[in-house]
Amino acid sequence: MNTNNFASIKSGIYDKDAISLANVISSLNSHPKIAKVGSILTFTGIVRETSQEGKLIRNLEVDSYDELANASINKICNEIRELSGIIEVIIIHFKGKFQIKDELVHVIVASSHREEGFKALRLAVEKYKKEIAVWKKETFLDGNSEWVH
Amino acid sequence: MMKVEVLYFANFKDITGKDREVLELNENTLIGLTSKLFRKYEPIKNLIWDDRIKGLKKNISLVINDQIVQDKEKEQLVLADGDKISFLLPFSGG
Repeated sequence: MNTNNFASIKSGIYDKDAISLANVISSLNSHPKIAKVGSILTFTGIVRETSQEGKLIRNLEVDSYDELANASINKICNEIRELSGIIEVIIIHFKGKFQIKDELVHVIVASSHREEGFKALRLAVEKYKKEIAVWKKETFLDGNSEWVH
Repeated sequence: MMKVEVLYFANFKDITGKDREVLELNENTLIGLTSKLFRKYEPIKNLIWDDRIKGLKKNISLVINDQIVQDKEKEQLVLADGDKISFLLPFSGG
């Protein structure tokens, strides 16, 4: 079994559009434990046109402390891989400048059965939101901008 | 005289206009660094410093050499020549 392709897609911080969700999913085909997988679930976060407060957004910028964020992403993935029935977890978070509808993050969970996959996917999303050193700056239609914290 | 490298992210990058810089310190403590930073970039004080407790605000993470510092009394930490230091506001992943 060729695992080179799989090994080439690592969780972490990437420049905008550096990796597609389709590439991540197809890379799982060469995962050494793919025969144990019965479910692949994905979450993709994209840029919404309104802020949490309902203000209209023109664009978004994402900054990251790569060394720290990559370490936290790997820690989250390692923790979730330990859960029963979870075969693989990959988190791809993009940085740079984004427009409305652009993809910001992909979370991919491969599990033996769907139920543990849904739980693990939710856990991975909740954790990356809080634990990785990434910041979003929203620029509004009126030209003002602010970092979200 | 010692030198440390300060990394700037998000708000800090906007305030300083750069993503990192080397600063020379006369005093080898975190207070020595923050004093120098606040003189150079006044808005950083509002972001990270709580005058009531004379220390870093509770929501600020201090990172030295890519490790988050967990000590409670961060202000008295002794820095080493060449340390890479950053102050982080709460994260907001995508």
